[in-house]
Amino acid sequence: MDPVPVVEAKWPPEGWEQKGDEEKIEFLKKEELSQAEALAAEFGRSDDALVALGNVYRKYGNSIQALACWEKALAVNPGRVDAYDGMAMVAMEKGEHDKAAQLWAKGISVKPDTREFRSSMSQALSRAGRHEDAIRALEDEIRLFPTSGLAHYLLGQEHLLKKEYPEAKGDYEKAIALLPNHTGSYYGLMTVCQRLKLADETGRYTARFDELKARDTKETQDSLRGRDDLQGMWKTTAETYLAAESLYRRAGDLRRAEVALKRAETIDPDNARLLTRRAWNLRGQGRLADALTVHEKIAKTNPDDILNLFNMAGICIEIKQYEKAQTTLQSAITRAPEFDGAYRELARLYLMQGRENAAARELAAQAVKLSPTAANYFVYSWACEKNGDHKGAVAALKRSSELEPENPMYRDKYRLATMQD
Amino acid sequence: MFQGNGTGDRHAAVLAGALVAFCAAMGQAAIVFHDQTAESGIAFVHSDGGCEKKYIMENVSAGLTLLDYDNDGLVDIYFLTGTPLKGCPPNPKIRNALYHNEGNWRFTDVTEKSGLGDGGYGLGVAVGDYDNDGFLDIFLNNYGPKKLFHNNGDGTFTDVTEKAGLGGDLKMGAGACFFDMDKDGYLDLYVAHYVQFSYDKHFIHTMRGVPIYMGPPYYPGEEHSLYHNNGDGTFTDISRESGIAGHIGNGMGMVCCDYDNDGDTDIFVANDMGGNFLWDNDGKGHFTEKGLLSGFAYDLNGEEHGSMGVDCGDYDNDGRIDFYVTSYQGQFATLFQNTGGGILEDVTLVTGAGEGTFTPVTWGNSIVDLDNDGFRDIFVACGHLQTNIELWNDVGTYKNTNLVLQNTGNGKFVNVSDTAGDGLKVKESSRGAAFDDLDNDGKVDIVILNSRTKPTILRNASTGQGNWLQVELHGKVNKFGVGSQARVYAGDLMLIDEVHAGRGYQSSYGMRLYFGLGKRDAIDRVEVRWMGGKTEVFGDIKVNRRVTLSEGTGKEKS
Repeated sequence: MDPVPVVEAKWPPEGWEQKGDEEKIEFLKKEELSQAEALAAEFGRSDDALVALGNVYRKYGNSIQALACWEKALAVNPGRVDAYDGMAMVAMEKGEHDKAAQLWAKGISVKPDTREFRSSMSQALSRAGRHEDAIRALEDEIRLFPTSGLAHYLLGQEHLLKKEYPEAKGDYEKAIALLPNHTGSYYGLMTVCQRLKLADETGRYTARFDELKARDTKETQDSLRGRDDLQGMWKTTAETYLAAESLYRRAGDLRRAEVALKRAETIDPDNARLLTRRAWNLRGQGRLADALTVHEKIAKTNPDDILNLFNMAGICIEIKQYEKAQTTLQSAITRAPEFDGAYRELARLYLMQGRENAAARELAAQAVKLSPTAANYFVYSWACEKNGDHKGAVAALKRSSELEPENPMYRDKYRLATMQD
Repeated sequence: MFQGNGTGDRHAAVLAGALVAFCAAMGQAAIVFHDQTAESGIAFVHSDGGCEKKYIMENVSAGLTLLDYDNDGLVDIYFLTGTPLKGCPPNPKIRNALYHNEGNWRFTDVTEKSGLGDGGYGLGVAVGDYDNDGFLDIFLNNYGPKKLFHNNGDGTFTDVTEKAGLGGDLKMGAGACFFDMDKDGYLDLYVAHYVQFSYDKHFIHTMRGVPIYMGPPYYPGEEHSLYHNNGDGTFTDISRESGIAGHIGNGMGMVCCDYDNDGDTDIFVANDMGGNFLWDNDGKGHFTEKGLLSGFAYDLNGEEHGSMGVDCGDYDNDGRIDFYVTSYQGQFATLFQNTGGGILEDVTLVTGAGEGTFTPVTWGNSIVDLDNDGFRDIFVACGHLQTNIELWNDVGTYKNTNLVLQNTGNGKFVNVSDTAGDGLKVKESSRGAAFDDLDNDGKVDIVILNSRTKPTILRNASTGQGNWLQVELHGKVNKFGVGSQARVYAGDLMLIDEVHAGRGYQSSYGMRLYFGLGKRDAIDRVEVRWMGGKTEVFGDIKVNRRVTLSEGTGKEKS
């Protein structure tokens, strides 16, 4: 197969403005499909290309070809859990719940630490009437990811089905602690409190559910009424060009990577992933102020893009805009209380500035609680030291070096700390 | 050389044989339906009234009714149809059709003679004897002008809409029910509405470039209406004083029944993409909406469905009436178990009652004993509303086979559709479904209205079934006993049912009550709680027959 020629398509094509929406959509659809098919043909041994093509087929409602692509991708790289995820989702849609559960189970066996797979699998199992298996899957998910609000909620649903109301209540309460505006958990709480004849709590949770349901309904209606098919096509076609850019870049074909990126930019200049890539590029060139401007643009259109806020804060720290870094990280914590990185980096910021030591320790402790990684233990160790807890600092450093024994910084710091003792 | 059906059919036959053996081992008869359409003489073809303009009402039309309009003991069929919409070529031949049951599965088109060839846009229908003259009347909840047809008792009907005071409603209709809200003996009328539609707000939506129908979120919802029967052939709109007005819904199917056993009739409305309504009756015709607190509004997850049809029946024989609500693709049709105390619990996932319902859009349905084993099964009519769904989502199909979920008697349901005979092999896009014994053989048959094509007539051809009893209630004032409740006691079995006048997906059927008795060959007694009256006990009733129980002829229950 000859490589895809590098063609910088003229944009807009001739007569574009005269075309109606349906014609424009058809044009983009053809372009996207041919781009994805050409990529899969050229990178036939690339699981990325096959997954991308599968996703495009799925988008156009062709599940048969999508499944074939994902299966090929798995043959190339059995570690592609996203292919298992896609296949399982199709099985769910077809009402083949046992099959979906099997596919997620395979994904878990390949990559046991994949977040939310056990939750998804539990839903498939529950729909297949295998409630005990669903409970086991959820208990595993919670053991591995204690901050998964979804898993706590789903466990509540299983306990509710078994009429184990106090247990269900506890699950929903945990879910709400992690996902404060989770409508389903409030419905669950309302239901179990009613069954337990807790009138006051039933009333309170009913009112909260009503509020959240009204919000959800409005959001759904607004999103449906505001849905623009052509606009949606722009966005998803741009995503396919981004996938192409990534493939070419990794294959070392920077020329064609550039062409693909440009095409993506023409199609959807506000695409968040594209902007993120541009920001990284600027950061790599040392143009930090420009990179920050791009991050701010993303934050405006996608205020819930936590990684964007995270990266934005990183740049703010680099250019010493500490106050801005602090508010950005605080915003990230508010928007995604389950994201450990924001707690850690805010703690690090305080520690760097030599202020708010007690708060820094609390933040680092929360990061460790959410995700016991080496990086989080490392910052926690620093916070302990700043608060005069040398013993705690050493213990945390020990965990860091145990978790990442190959990391020289953790290893050396730990050795130094134990030598001081 | 093997001569016969294709491999698929042979395979199905082997499976069917295996199922019969399995059911026999479990003490259950296999459920089998034969497609009787071709032999029936029914030539009706439904129209959605569209011409590629994709108006929202096209995909929700229509319901049907099974009624014995001439009291000859044979249940007749009345089909609703859409009629040409704005911008579509007029066609006066498209109209509703009444078929008279001649017996032996032959039906004759008597539309012309009856005067029921309504040319309005048919959506929902309710049948009841509003003037208590002993003949069933018909209310059509059309898009546009509603119609009330008075049954003259001689095979003809007269349009009395204006005279009855029901002429002002031009909204988009949906399900409707006659019921006696205040126990005065006269049937009142609940009229559900779907959306506030106007041609000027309509546009054709696309999905990845493929034209599709707009759903209810694109339109404002509607208040529903409640009419009080004044007892003199007229109705008064009491939507506001009854508490019904002020609540906006996207009404679809509905049913009225006494879910809390307090002796009055409550109202259940399936709303498309909004919480379902449960109107709790205070016994005097004032209603409080209790969908949320009862559990009926949403599914187990607190999610609203694209609810379509709703029917009720006691699936677990605990003396409380349960509910089944059909829904959109990607949602299970939902079984709500009535656990008492005003609570309806979504038990779909623990009973298997949603089996097979997740992928298709589901519409007409009933909780009905199809094998007379004493446990009510579930029938679900299926079919997508997007005529071109395959072009943008190949998981869905416009035409689907329907579903039979057999009640195993231990609180579970098994999907037996694949082995339930050629009647369940029919693939159409079904809407309303109605259930009655069309040949008086003691088994419940099914008539299904299919969108844009001919209907499906299913003869219950199951063999080796249990004993049965059919009950017709004859009230003193409310002649067909609408809202009255019968309890049949036979050995260890206690079965309950009520007379409904409007149910399922925008349809009306089942003026007779059907009870499967399994192996029980004697009936201890039948207790009837007359609507607004006393409870009477009837004894000396034999199995395998239809009986008429008249108010005042039983022994008053102390």
